[in-house]
Amino acid sequence: MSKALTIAWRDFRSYFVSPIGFVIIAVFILLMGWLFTASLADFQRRSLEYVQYSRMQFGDLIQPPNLNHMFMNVLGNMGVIFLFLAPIITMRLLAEEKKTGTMELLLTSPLRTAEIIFGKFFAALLLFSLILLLSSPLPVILFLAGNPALGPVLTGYLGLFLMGASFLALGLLFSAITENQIIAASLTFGCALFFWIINWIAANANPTWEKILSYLSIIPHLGNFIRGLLDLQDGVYYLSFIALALFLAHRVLLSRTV
Amino acid sequence: MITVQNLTKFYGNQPAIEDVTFSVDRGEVLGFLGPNGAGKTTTMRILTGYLASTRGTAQVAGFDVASQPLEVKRRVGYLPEHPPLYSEMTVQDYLDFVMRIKDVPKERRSSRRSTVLEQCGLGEVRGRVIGHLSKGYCQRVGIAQAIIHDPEVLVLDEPTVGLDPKQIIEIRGLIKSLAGQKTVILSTHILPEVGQTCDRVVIINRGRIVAIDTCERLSVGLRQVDQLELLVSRASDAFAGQLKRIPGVVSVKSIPQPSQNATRFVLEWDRQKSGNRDVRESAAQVVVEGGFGLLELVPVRMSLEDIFLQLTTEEVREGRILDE
Ligand SMILES: Nc1ncnc2c1ncn2[C@@H]1O[C@H](COP(=O)(O)OP(=O)(O)O)[C@@H](O)[C@H]1O
Ligand SMILES: [Mg+2]
Repeated sequence: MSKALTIAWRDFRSYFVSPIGFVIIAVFILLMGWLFTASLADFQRRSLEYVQYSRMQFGDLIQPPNLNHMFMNVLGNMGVIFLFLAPIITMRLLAEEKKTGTMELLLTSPLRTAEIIFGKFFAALLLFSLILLLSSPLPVILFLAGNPALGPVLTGYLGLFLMGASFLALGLLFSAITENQIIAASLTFGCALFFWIINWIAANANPTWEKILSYLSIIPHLGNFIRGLLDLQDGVYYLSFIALALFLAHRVLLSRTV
Repeated sequence: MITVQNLTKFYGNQPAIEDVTFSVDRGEVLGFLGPNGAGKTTTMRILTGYLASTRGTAQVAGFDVASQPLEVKRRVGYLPEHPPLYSEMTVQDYLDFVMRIKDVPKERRSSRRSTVLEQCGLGEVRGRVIGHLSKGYCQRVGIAQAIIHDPEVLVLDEPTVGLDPKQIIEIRGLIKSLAGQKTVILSTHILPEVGQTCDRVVIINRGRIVAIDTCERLSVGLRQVDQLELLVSRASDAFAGQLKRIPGVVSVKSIPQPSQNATRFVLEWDRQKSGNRDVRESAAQVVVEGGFGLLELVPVRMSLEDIFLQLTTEEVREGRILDE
């Protein structure tokens, strides 16, 4: 597996040679900064309202604003941003190698197919982890300014990490299928979005289907993590999602005819 | 060193190669010659473990390509048709990466790197980004990548295609310098390349092998019809008639050469029919006795090019029709 890390490191570095890595990070930081500022402004307004209401002794009519709730929104939004960024992170992983012919080097070197798949997956995961890390000043600001609970913040990040990893595995699968990066990105985005909204029909389906569709959907699982609920089911969902996508990518690469 | 038996590969129901059988000895340089689309790349991709064959077996260095791919891949260096280069990396970083994925032990890496950089003439560009290198240098990096793990077998797919004449000479020199130490299979659709670099040649056409032999024997074996060219200053119709009557002569063509004030005759004869007497001798006698003014008499040996054309004419004709 050390060769998987060699591949991962090479790919990770190449994100920053072609400026794709920088662009993704810049876009993410700008959007997150804007969202966080908006949420803070909202929080401030609510705090003022709450103070006014409590002076008027209507205090028990509205909830006191809660930093954790505010940050839950921020994490949820971060999830949406990943939905857009993940396809861009993964589209090149295998598609580009097929296009430029470097795949021939990988496939004729003494590498196992699994090492190639894991190497590529780790490269994307590494960039994704870096992005998550770069968002850490946001919770730090919260902890400096107020006194939120640590638990939901940590589980929220764990949930985001698992969800992001699922998107990346999905993207790797589509990058294995085509040598056209635009097609790989489009399919990844379409498929990820589908899993995002798959339960929208659930309310109008019969109870069995409602259950199945809700389980398949990405949002409820992420929601639990963000609310600070650690449920084994949610972890199993993401891990099996990742395993299935990587397994299929492995099959696709093995069955190459090109 | 390499044994290929009845190798067959279908794309859909279209065969790319069919029943390809040949072997290569240790230290030998084998030329794989054929027009475009003949199946050279397909064969090489199977040998290097990039593609699986539909039928047949291939063994490299004693290991079966299908059942022990990792063992084979450790022992084979492969330069694909398009060198597999990461254009954003420097030459040195690229070679380091290749050494890692090709299992070159850590302690040998730096010595291998400098040996190969020198061998391929890449010393000056080691720190340059590959995307900025000329095509000739890219090809050298491709070869460097193929030999960096010191493989026993080298598979080079059209190593000189798309290079300018100077670069071609350099790359051929590089291949020749490797030839002594390694078993090499080299594909090409350019004829002179085979004559210049290879010990033996396999001619492949439409997925099938049409000839395997040493370059020399191939040119003797196929030469049923020989040619003789005569340049004479005072030709007449009688002369052509006399030439035709020489036993064994199949045809006589005359080509006037006004610039030299002479006529060129091309004589074709069949060995089997000419009997004991050499046609060259009879022809010389005819010219001298008739006083036709002999200027030149050149026996024409059939070149590998003629053989190649003869074996693959169909393809060539079709190619021409397509071009038009
Ligand atoms: N991926 C592929 N799918 C379908 N047909 C292919 C594929 N690759 C090659 N072929 C066909 O197989 C034949 C042999 O091709 P190739 O091995 O590339 O020939 P060469 O290298 O001698 O030019 C050609 O007719 C080509 O069209
Ligand atoms: Mg080819």
